[in-house]
Amino acid sequence: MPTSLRYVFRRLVQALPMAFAIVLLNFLLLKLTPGDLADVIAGESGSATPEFMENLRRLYGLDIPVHLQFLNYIQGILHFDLGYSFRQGMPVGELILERLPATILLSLTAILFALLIGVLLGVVAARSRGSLLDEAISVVSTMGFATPLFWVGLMLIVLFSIELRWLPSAGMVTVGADYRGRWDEWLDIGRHLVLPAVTLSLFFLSIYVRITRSAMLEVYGLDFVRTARAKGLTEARVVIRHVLRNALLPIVTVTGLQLGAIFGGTVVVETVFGWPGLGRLAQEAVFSRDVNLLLGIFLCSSFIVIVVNLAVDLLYAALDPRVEVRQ
Amino acid sequence: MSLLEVEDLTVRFGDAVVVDRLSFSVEAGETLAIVGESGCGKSMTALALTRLVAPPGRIGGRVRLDGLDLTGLPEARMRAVRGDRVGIVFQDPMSALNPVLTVGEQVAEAVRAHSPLGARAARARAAELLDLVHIPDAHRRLDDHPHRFSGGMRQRVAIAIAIAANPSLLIADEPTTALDVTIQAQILCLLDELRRDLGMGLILITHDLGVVAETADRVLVMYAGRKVEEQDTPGLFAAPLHPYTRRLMGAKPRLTLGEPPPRQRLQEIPGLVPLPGAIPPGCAFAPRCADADAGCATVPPLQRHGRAAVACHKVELPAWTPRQVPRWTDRSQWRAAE
Ligand SMILES: Nc1ncnc2c1ncn2[C@@H]1O[C@H](COP(=O)(O)OP(=O)(O)O)[C@@H](O)[C@H]1O
Ligand code: SF4
Ligand SMILES: [Mg+2]
Repeated sequence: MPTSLRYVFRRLVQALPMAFAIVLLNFLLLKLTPGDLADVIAGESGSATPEFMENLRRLYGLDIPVHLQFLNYIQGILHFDLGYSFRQGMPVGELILERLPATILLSLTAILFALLIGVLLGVVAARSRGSLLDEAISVVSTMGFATPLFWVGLMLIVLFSIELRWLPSAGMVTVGADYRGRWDEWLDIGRHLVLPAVTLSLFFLSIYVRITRSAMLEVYGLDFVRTARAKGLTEARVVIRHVLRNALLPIVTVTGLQLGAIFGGTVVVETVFGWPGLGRLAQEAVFSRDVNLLLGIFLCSSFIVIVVNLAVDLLYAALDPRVEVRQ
Repeated sequence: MSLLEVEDLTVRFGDAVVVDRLSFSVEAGETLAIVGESGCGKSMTALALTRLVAPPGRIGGRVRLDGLDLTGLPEARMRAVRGDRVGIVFQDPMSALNPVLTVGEQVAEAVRAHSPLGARAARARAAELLDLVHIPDAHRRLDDHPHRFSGGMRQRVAIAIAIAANPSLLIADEPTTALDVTIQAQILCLLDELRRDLGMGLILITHDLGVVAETADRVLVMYAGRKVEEQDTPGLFAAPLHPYTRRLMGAKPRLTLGEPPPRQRLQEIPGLVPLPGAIPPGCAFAPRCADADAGCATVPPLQRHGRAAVACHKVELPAWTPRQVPRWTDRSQWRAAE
């Protein structure tokens, strides 16, 4: 459909200024941190002469005017050249690519889990509004929202890894495991994934419960639900096809808004569970004062959030046929 | 036996009585208009007939449709009645359709709720129905969403949904109030046409006395949840009995022999419809009634004579009998005169 294509294109164009702003911010942060790359390298090597520093600055293009440096910086980004991490002894881009899949796996699992359980609980709460069950769901979800992730993570480790010994507490794979095939490996990763994913999902789960509950209650009061009932449809059909289908719209919107927050969450959860993802890499970068790496991660995660938000917008447009008209 | 027989229908929200012991009947192929100001309980009556009143509202009384006693029918069997034997069209077509489903899906859903048709057959039937309510290009419009339709067209879709299963009773709750004047007449025409062609009984809830004069066989006037008057349309226009009805029509009906009654909207009456729960003891209309006196401190009983009924201490039935209605109030003659 040409209209939807045009919509995609327009949203893409709208995302560009945002991307540019992030690159600019990143560059400014890089420039504003005390000491430049030459100082860092000199610091790493222990001693350096002024001439050596001068050479370094020329080598890394630090001796030219700032606006030209910025152009170089953009060009580097376009080639996924995000600089070099002297602490890790690897290009930042490679480090990020290495850790990214683990984070995507963790975040996706957590979001899907949160969506599934959160929407389910939200529907149940809305259906039994004002009852004890509704209250219970509300209390539990508020607790999920208010409890620090690291504390939840530690408690889950104590319970399921140390006491019950059901699930591993750290890492993504069993160290030194001897897999008898693909399935074995996936199963092992899956077992490691459970606790961190559940921990990360708790925060979002409570948001989904509330959004779903309030959206459901709002849609319940709308006229077309009465029309649906007047058709003689079963209550299940009214709820799923008419109420939930419309309540999904705010849920999708909130999911988009929460995606930025999930990166913050992965830093904590990956650190607690030793999950080898981007979040833990960021934590390592902070503690080793690895500015290049940190800004690289910041840039990457910002771009991922932009892209995913774009995808969420398109999903919203697909779910709500009125979008093309409203624009 | 009438198509619909309603006895002592009551809707209450806690202590507030919103519909109070309402009794009436509708014959097959007949149009009954229910009129009254906003807040008189007209919509609640419509919803109560099919037990669609949302909690915490409670429904009492008996409703018999096609000989089937709906009172105490289990919810699952009530669902089989809704949409199948009774169709309802609501007031606001802009919000009565689900914005995220196509019109075809929504009509087909109503079809499939009461027939074993498969998806394809239901879609074909949906196109047929859209054609029946005169939506141009019905086949092509099946896949459009409601926002692509004008208010009038949406109301046609809502009507198509309501008649999807060939109901024997159609309830239209102010179907034209939200529409442009020019569209209103078209929708009323359509409802009248469908009633005739499908042989349905029609309950038409409206504000508009012009609409009543044009389409209704009989009129039920409601005030504060109660029936205050019921008459054949010609009788009502010739001689409104209840002070409330008279006020609705303007104090003295300006009727001239041999001419159709003027079309007119309900007159504004000073004062407000009492809120349920704050209905005055005695005659509910007393605070706004010019004829009220000490005798109105008790609830006036509903007096019946033939098919006419009135609830007012100051009106005696039969002060007037159908035979006394002047010849020109025969509806066929109004039509001819127009
Ligand atoms: N959920 C509710 N709770 C309490 N009162 C209600 C509720 N819904 C409607 N009512 C009251 O019922 C009365 C009749 O409403 P309604 O049937 O919609 O009137 P009408 O259709 O004649 O304008 C109104 O006074 C309204 O305030
Ligand atoms: S009973 Fe009395 S107050 Fe009520 S309508 Fe008749 S005259 Fe008016
Ligand atoms: Mg109403």
